[in-house]
Amino acid sequence: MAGLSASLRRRWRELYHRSSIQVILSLFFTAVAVVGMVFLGLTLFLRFSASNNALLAENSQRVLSQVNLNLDARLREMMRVSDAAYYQVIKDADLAEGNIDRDLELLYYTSRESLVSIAVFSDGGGLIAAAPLGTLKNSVSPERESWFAAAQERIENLHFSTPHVQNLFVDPDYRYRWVVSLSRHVELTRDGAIESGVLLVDMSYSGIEQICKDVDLGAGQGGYLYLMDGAGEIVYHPRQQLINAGLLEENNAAAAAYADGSHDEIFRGQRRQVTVKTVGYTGWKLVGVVPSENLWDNYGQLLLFFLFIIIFSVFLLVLVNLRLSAWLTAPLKKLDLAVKELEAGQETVDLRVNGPYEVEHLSRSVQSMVSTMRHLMDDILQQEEQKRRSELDVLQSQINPHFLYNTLDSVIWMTENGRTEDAVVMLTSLARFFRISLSRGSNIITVGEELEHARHYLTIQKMRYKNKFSADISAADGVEDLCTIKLIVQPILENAIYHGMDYADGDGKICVSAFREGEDVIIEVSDNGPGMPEEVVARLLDQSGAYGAAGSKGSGIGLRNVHRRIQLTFGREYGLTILSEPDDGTVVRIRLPALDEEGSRRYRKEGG
Amino acid sequence: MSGRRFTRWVLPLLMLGVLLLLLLLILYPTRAQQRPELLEMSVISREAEGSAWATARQGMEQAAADLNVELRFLYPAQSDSAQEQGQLLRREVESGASAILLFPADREALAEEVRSAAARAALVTLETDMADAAAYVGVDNAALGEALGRAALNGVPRGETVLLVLAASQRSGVGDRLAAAEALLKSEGRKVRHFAGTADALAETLSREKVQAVIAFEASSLERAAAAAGRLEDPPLLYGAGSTPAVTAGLEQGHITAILAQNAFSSGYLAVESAARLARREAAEALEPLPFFTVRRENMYDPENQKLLFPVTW
Repeated sequence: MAGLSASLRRRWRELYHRSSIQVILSLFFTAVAVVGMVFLGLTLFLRFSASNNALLAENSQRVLSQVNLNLDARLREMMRVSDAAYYQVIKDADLAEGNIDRDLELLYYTSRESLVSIAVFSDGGGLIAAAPLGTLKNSVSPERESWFAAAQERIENLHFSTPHVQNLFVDPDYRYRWVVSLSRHVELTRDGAIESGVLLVDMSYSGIEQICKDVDLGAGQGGYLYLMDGAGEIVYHPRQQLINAGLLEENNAAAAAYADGSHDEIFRGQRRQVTVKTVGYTGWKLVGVVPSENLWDNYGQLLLFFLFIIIFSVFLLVLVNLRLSAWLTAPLKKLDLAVKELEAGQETVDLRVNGPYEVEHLSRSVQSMVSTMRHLMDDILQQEEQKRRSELDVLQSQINPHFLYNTLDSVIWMTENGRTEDAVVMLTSLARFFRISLSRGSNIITVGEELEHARHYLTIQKMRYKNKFSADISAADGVEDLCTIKLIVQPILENAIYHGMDYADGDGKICVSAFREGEDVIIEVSDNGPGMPEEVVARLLDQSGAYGAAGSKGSGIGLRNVHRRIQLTFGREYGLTILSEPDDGTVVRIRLPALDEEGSRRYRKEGG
Repeated sequence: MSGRRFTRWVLPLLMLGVLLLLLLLILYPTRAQQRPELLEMSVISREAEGSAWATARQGMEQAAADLNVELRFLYPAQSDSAQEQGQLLRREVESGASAILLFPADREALAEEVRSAAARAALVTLETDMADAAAYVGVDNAALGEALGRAALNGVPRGETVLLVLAASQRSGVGDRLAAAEALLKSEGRKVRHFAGTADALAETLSREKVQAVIAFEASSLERAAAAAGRLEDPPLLYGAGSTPAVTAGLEQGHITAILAQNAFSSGYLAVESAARLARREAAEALEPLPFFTVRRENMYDPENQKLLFPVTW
């Protein structure tokens, strides 16, 4: 269970992180609306079905009350006939003086629609008077009939029988009648003496049928009403013939035990609402039956309809919510898109978004943040550039102090020794050397000027080193007009002289050549000095500074400066390459981009 | 129309339409299923007037009301006329009746017509079973005949005579009853004689000849026999099948010794129900022969026999 819960939570989190805000909003709106609708719908549905059941029960009770009133009236009418027969006919008559047939017949005709017969029997079952038929069948014995016995057993009461066929009197038409008999004990007067007897009033069974038939129970739900006596014997049933034929069963035995009111029962697999009402005097029970299956069929239809309405509503809600959430999230999406464009490096991004206050505020904040960031970045770039230039300037300025000191020292020495011409040559070269070094503050000069600069440097150094070596400078056609950063050859020459020519005895040779290689310019400085082992070569251009302190002789700082300056200016694919073997000289190759005047403009730093 | 607009608006609206259609489709059939379509059913009687099977007719009408069937009762001009019954049968089939109830007067004379009609309509017979009919609703005639014969055995000593009142046609269910009773009586050593004729002729025969018991195998002949017995000072024992008011009166007056009665309401109801199911091609259980009950004067007003002999009419 816990695992399932964790899995669900994890999936939900994944979905949440994968989905857009529009989808999440739509889902939540729809879920909340659906839950609300289902809750409300179910509440209404349950309320509706409960009140419908209550209404049906109430309707059944009302109908049963009405039927009870009608039945009561009919039974009272019978009782009135019985009372009239007893108190107005029998009580006043002395049977020895005359018969009461005529009086009974008159009474019968006053209620003939509902009566079948009125008869008075002696205590032994002999017929005293009867109307309308007056001849007792030979085959019958009234004293054996249940209505007769009931009247004699409880003499103070009126007794209603269950329906039966009236078989007492001879009928020339062989008609038989279903009747309900009302019997009572009566006192007969004969010759002034009182004797017991039984008064029988037979009510037509069709009178009961008229009261009970066509009763509408359950508003067309297949409901019906039946009547039974206190023991559960059916008195009237709309489908009595089917029950008598054994083609239909009724739950009358169980219903006999029901108290007045509404009950739910299941009979032969059918759920029914049964309402019971006891009829006065007789103890009979009116039973109203409404099959609940029909109700539930209707409820099923209603539920189905309700489900479809929910599906419709969900569909519409999804549609509307998608549009609504799209409208709500549009400013956010626009802002998100703008930020993505910004991330992609687009320069001009419109971050202004119209929408709700919070989104507009967010948009303004992002805009302000981007603006601040851009300023900061510009500042950083500017600072970086300044730093780079300062570094270059420092590197460039590292060249001059040694050389100037040594040269001037040589000029002094020459002048003191009377070598004025040599001193003039040296000073002239020095002047030319510095003129090119300054270059009116520009860091970019032509390759020709750079070679010229190298030539003056070599002139000075050859004089200082008393022509221990010779030098040769050459350039391929068109190369001299290309541009380079200045002062990149001189430090290499300085290195070649210090390390390669120090021990030369006039046979030292330094060659400088410039040529193109594809889109690049190569300036190659080679010497025939002692060369270097591989590890020394590797150490020379190491930028980590792990080898040698700056300024110490043989540390290679000049080479590293040149290498770094070239890479700082043009990129890491350019710079120096050193090829050297012990006793086999050294070749330093400078690789530069082939830049014309136009191409060099972006690298140019003009001095004052 | 752009695909975007189609996806956003037209497609959802189309789906809503489909849902609405589904709703209507689901709701409609349940309402239609509540009551089956009206079925026209013809009932072809054996007798010229229907008093003898009035109770069965009540059962038919009750079933017709329950099952939404419209009944058309047809009577031949002459009772027990197989020829007329055949014509009525043919006419009803040609007029498109989908279900027919038939009280066959003569099994053999109607065999061809019944075969032809049964192929085109749901044909159910009452009283007399027929091979080609789709179903038969009624008692087991042979068993009923045997029961009548057995009832007569008690009052008729061995070697004495029992008069059997002939039916109009022996090739019917009534004839089956007679044949079964006759076979039993003969096997038990009683003499058997046949009689066909009016009540007067029967009364004359009975007054002239020594007959210990009479058996009538259907209601109308039992009524005639009861009437004849009523005219005799010392009538023979009378047994019969059927339960008309005249028969019950005869039973009560002592003219009839005992009757074998079936629930006619039930047979009428079941016949219509069976034919309706067959016509509507609904599943129906095989019908068992209906039960019959022996009723004598002494027990005719027992509650159960009251319901059997005196159907409740409003």
